[in-house]
Amino acid sequence: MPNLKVATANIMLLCALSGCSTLVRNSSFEIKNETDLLTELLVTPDRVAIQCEELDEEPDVGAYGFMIHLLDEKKTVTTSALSIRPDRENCKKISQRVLRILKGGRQIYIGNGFQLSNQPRVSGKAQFRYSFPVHGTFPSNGRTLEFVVIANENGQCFGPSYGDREPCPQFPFPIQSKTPAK
Amino acid sequence: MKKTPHKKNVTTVHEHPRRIPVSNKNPTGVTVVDQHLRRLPGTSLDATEIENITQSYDRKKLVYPTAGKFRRYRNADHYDDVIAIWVDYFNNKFGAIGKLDPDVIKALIASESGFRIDPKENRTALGIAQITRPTLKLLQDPTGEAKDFIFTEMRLKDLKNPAIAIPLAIRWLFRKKTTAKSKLGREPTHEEIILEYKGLLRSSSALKQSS
Repeated sequence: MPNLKVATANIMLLCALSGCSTLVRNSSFEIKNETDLLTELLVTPDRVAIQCEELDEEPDVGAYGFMIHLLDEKKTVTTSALSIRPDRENCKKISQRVLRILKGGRQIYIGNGFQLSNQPRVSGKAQFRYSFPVHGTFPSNGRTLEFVVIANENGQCFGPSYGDREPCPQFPFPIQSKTPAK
Repeated sequence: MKKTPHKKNVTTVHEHPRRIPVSNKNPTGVTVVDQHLRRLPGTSLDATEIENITQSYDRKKLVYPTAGKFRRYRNADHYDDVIAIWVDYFNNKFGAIGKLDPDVIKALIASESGFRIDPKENRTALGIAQITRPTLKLLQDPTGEAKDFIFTEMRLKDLKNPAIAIPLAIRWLFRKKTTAKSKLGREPTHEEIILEYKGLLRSSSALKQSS
């Protein structure tokens, strides 16, 4: 398997501060809103793992894949991937910004391209499994989103493609239509 | 088995005399041009030629990519004209190996850059089509894998101009179609051609699973 680095928010610290059983009790994964092209998720940080994956086919290009793995309500893992492939340094910077938001809040908003609920969960022997402290290790479910923006309830917000542009989140988020997920 | 004749893209210009103004150096007014190779017309383009073609191309029977399909991106339909022209141009050049659909190009650009002219996330891949330095070199190499149709006098900063980057990307995608077919041993799907462009066709990565 290529060089993998999966990081989670500092769950152990959160456990120490508020008790792990509290974390599990308050743990949630929710589709806040979605359209045929977009999905907004609300999750707690314990259900989030991030990854900068070195891509093996063109090592001289030095491209990485940045992904956010999310433990859903069925205990399977949905992946929200950044469509552009950053270089190593930028993947690290993106990871650090995302980690800061995960550590800085209890309710994490993630804006994604693609609709989630119309994607079936793929069962059977999953090629990839991801570990979440507190919860355990779970298989990927074949569902994929395109990562666009992440924020927490304390106003911290980051979109890798935004650069210095305000506001955050910005078009096409937040979703304007009042159509919550089924 | 009958061999398909190799299509020439260069011709040999034999040594020949050329008339020039009379000077002290050439009192006869004739000089000798050495034998050299010359690319045949229609086998290479520079930036000016790309611009001229884009401006003057006959748009009457063009197939345009679907508008409104990538609503989540700003400027998603902004390059439909350029995409339609150059897909048509290269379909006419390379149609024998199977035509490309303009929607495939648009989907590729959406995933490579979100239609941003100069994404900063990767310093090794530039512009709206995220073309890398090695790829730009190959696209200009008269002896390389893209030698049957190349570009000339392209600079890295040209990749930040969508009017140039998009034709380069389309030409490169035709090359990736060929390499994908060779790797798979069959005609690739549109998704497989895009994966090959991204360098993910044979990847065992989690990102490829998600792509």
